This record gives sequence, structure tokens and C-alpha cells, in this order.
Amino acid sequence: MTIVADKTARLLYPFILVFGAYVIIHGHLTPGGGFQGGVAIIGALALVYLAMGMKAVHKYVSLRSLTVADSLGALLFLLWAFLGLVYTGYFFGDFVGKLWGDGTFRSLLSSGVIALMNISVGIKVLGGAGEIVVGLVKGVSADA
Amino acid sequence: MMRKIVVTVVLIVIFFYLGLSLYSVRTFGDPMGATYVGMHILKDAIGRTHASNVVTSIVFGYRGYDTLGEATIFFVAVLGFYWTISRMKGGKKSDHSS
Repeated sequence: MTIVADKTARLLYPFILVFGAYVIIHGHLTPGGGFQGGVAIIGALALVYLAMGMKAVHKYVSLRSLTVADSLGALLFLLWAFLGLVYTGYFFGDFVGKLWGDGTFRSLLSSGVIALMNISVGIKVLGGAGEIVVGLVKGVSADA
Repeated sequence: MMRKIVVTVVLIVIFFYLGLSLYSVRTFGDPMGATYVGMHILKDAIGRTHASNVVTSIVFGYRGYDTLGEATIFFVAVLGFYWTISRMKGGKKSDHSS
């Protein structure tokens, strides 16, 4: 790529990463949520690939770490659901609110299990969308 | 022949009742015409879930099973994508194929 694209991508991608993390973490307070924030983070990854090539991407992420993120997010999501079953008697029950209280309205530590589920879904979507991007770029080879 | 008649009758019954339900559809965009479930959730959500984003509280609170299915669908979509791309011509065959 040209130097313009390279420098612009270098300047922009940290902000996109921070914005994606913000959208995930504040999913229960402001518009957005896990799905949107995860895809925004993978947008930064795609931008880095388009401007600097796959070597720059592989310096920080590999297909293996994205797969771990995908599985970890799904397992965490199920873990919160089952903890709800254990502590409140309902699958997806709000066990955080029951054990530690609801927190102050509109602060980061509020809404109980919804925030936790939001973050785990964000991790999961980040992993899944990243797998698709990396797979489209490389094709599937055994090591990747 | 018998089968065709049965299918036709079943379809006529289904579409008759679908058409009948059109009479009770509320006016589009009318706030008082919103469904009762929607009105209930709008009033109830903040007091019950303490999340200021009502959409998120619906997605993860009221409709948790839906989100679980959505995550599963996404997982299966990624699997299907990798299955498809590993069989495309010119790509290196992965160890998992065949």
C-alpha cells in the first residue's frame, strides 16, 4: 500500500480499538453492545491488514488466539447462565444482583449479569469475526 | 392426487387464518398501538434490570435464550465458513477435510 494508507491506518487503528472496547464495556449503558463492539475491533484488524499486510496482523494476533477468544466467550456466556441457575433458580437469572446488589443506576457497575454477558458475547464475536477475516485472507492452511 | 388435495386444503386453512389476523393488526407507528408486551417491557425494564440501555436488557435479560441461539448460530456459521473455504479450489487442503 501507499504511504498515505499506511500512515492513516497507523494513526487510526488504536482509536478504533479503544472505541470497540468502549462499546463492549458500556453496552448496558449506551447504544451498542457486545456484537457491535466486537465487530468494530475486528474492523481495526481488517484495516491493519489492508494497509500493512498480514505480517503486521500476525505480530499481535494469530488464528489460534482468535479461536481461544471465540470458545472462551461462549463458555463464559454459558457459565453466567448456569450460575444464574444455581443461585437464583432460573437459567439466565440475575445472580450478581441477588448476591451483591444492583449497583447505582447508570454507573459502570450496574445491571448485574447483563454487563457480564455483554462482555462475554463481545469476546465471542471478536473471536468469530476475526476468524472469518483471517480465514478469508489466508485461505485455510494447517498452521495459519 | 389425494395428497395434493390434502395439501391444498391445509394451505387454504392456514392462509384463511393468516388473512383473518390482518384485521387485528394495529396501525403502524401508533404509540398506543404498540403491543402489550412492548409496553410492559418499556415500563418494567429499568426497575427490574437496572440497565439504562433497554435494548441490551431485552437482548440479554428478557430474551436470553434468543441470544444463546444467536451465539450458537454464529459459531456454526464460522464452522461452515471454514468447511467451505477448505474445499475451494487452489487452497491448501486442511488436515480436517475428508
